Amino acid sequence: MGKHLHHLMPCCKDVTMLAEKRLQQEPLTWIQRMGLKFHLLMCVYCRRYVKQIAIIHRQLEKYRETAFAAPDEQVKQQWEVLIATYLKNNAGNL
Amino acid sequence: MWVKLYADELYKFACSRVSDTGLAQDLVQDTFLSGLQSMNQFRGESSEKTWLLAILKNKINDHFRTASKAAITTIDIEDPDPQLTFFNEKGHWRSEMAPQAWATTINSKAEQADFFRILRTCMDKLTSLGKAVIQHKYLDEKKSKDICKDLSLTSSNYWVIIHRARLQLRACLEKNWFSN
Repeated sequence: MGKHLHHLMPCCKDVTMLAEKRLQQEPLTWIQRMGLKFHLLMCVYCRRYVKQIAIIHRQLEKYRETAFAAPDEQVKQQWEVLIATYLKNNAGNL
Repeated sequence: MWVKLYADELYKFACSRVSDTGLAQDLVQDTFLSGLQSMNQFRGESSEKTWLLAILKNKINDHFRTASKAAITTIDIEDPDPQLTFFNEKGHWRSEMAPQAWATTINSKAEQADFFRILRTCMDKLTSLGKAVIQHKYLDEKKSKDICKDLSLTSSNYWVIIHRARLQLRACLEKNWFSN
């Protein structure tokens, strides 16, 4: 019996994939959910993994809100010059 | 005039997709140039901003299409199964890669800024495709289906790539932040 159970139980590699899908709210089959649950009961590393990727997930969502700054003034000036030059050179065609 | 009116918004949008600020600048610059070249095609059916944003979106997608093609070939050739870095042949964690208990948390505002800096560094270390997938997912809040379409990936490819990216990101953050 123990031997057969072993075959039903997903390994750590599978479990991290299942955890990824669950994190992204992808539907799992009943077998997958059970496998994930029982594996996590027994495996401290995967328990940590699941907890930690949830933290990373939240941090990445937070990161989005703070990540973007305005472009450099210098860069903007470059763009101004670029556009002005283009318009000057192509004045006849516009 | 374009720069004053639209540069901030276009740049912000570009940054949300490509995190590399230099690249974002290039993409915005290309957008202005393309816009100038095709100005006579602009008929005022949409606002000027929408029109420029559409050009920028095309530029970004072109960039990723090239990057994803390049990345897929390099993965195929150099790295048949990067999962083996983390797991042994039986699919168990390799002892040196197994997740450790995390010691530090993120408390203050200053720490948060530091953490984001590390997060960015760790994202830059991902493969270009892994990075693209993470960015589409988090910085652009896209659904996995749309990410697959944008990057021309199959659904199973998507899961393999984001799974691997998450493993790498977690390991990098553990090493550089959470292990004291």
